Parts: sequence; C-alpha cells; structure tokens
Amino acid sequence: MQAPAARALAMKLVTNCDLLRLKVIARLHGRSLPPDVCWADLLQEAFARVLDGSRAIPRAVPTVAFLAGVMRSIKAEHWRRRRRATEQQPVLATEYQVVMAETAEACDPQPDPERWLIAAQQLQAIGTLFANDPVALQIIAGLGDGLTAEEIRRTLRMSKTDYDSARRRMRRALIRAGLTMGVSE
Amino acid sequence: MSVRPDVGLERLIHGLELELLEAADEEFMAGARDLGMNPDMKGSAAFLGVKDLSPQLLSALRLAYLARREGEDA
Repeated sequence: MQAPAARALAMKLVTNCDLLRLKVIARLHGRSLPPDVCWADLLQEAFARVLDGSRAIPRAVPTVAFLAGVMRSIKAEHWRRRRRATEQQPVLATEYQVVMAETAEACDPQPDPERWLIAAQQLQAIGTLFANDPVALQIIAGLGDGLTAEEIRRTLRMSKTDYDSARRRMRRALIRAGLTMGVSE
Repeated sequence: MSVRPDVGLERLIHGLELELLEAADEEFMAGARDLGMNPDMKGSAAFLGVKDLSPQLLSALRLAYLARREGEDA
C-alpha cells in the first residue's frame, strides 16, 4: 500500500524537498501529540485528507504551509478526542491540580493534565537540543511567550545579523533532529 | 517562559514551524547530506516514515478497510 505522502509525490503535489520540510515540521508537532499518535501518522493523515478532498488547498496558500496547518488541526482533534476519553480520571486530575497550583499562572480553568506533563518534558527536550546555544535558548523562551521575531530581537537587544545567525543555527539543529530520529519517536 | 507548559510549547512549535516554512530548500538538503543521507537517492533514509507507512497507521488502515468490507457485506 502506498503512503499518502508518496502518492502526493507521485502526483507532483509536493517535491522531495517539500517532504523533508514536512517531515521536520511533523516531527516538531509530534512533540505535542498524545502518546498514542506518532508524527508519521500525523503527516500521512494530513496528506490523506488533502488527497481525498476533505481538505482543499486554497489557491493563495502554498501546499507545504497548508499541510502544516492541517497537521496542527489534526493534532487538536486528537487532543479533543483524548480529553473526552480521559474525562473520567478524577485521581489523576486531583494530583495534577496540586502540581499546577505551585507552578502555573491561572489562565485556563481546566488544562489537560496529560498534555501539561508531555509539554513540560518536551520543553525540556527542546531546551537540551539548544543547550550549547544561550542565544537560541533566549529566542525559544521568547517564542514560548508568544513574542514575534521583532519583539524578541528588541527585547534581547540583538542586531538583525546576530538574530538571523541564531535563527540559522536553530533551523540547522531542528532539521538535524527532524531527520535523525526514528519513526515512532 | 512565563506561561503554562502546554501553552508555551504550542506557541514555541508555531514559532519554529514558521522558521522551517521560511527556510530555503537547500537547508533541508544540506541537513540530510550532513547526516550522510542522499535525498536524491530512491529509498533514502531521509524519507523514513514519510514515503512508507508506520506500523500504527498500517494497522489503523487495515481496521478501517475491514470495517468497510464488513459494512458492504452486511
């Protein structure tokens, strides 16, 4: 059976290089997926939805950017499904609320405990990826706080050249990590 | 980071995704070559999980196919 991504390649919907890019992006989204779904499933599902016509690519949107958006939306669906399935776990919820009260700002009345824990681990993992690059770590913190590139640059008082150079290093590390790991990771 | 981990991670992923969308094709090809992979070669390890199906997805597709067959037979 041919994978949807391979079918899209054969149909010239994407190029080999697009597939590499999408793999790295899927790997990135894979860091915040529920444990029963892997990045490859997310990627193939996004391609399958485009190929079967359930998600039509708008003319003005590049295919790769659209597929990345579809992956984001499928990820949200998986979490919604997961949340519905785990709503009946009062013990875990109680333990989680203790942890939450110590570390969080009160911004969401009912955050998902499992998602919280996975996110904390993955933030640490991403931090490890850039452990030797203090500038990248600062940029990561800024992105996590929802700042734009320009806001981060201003906050860190960096020249555009230094900032672009840090972004290049970050992309290189992400691409390397995205092309290195195994299928189910 | 001053927000909840799940919120921060999603924002971070979104920011990094934009970086990856903006990156030049050559950065990905060079990244693969640095790892000793040749993306121009058929069956390159760079496409592991992309051009093939994961065991989880294969199993899900098999189940969906069987369910559809059963529905048609009934």
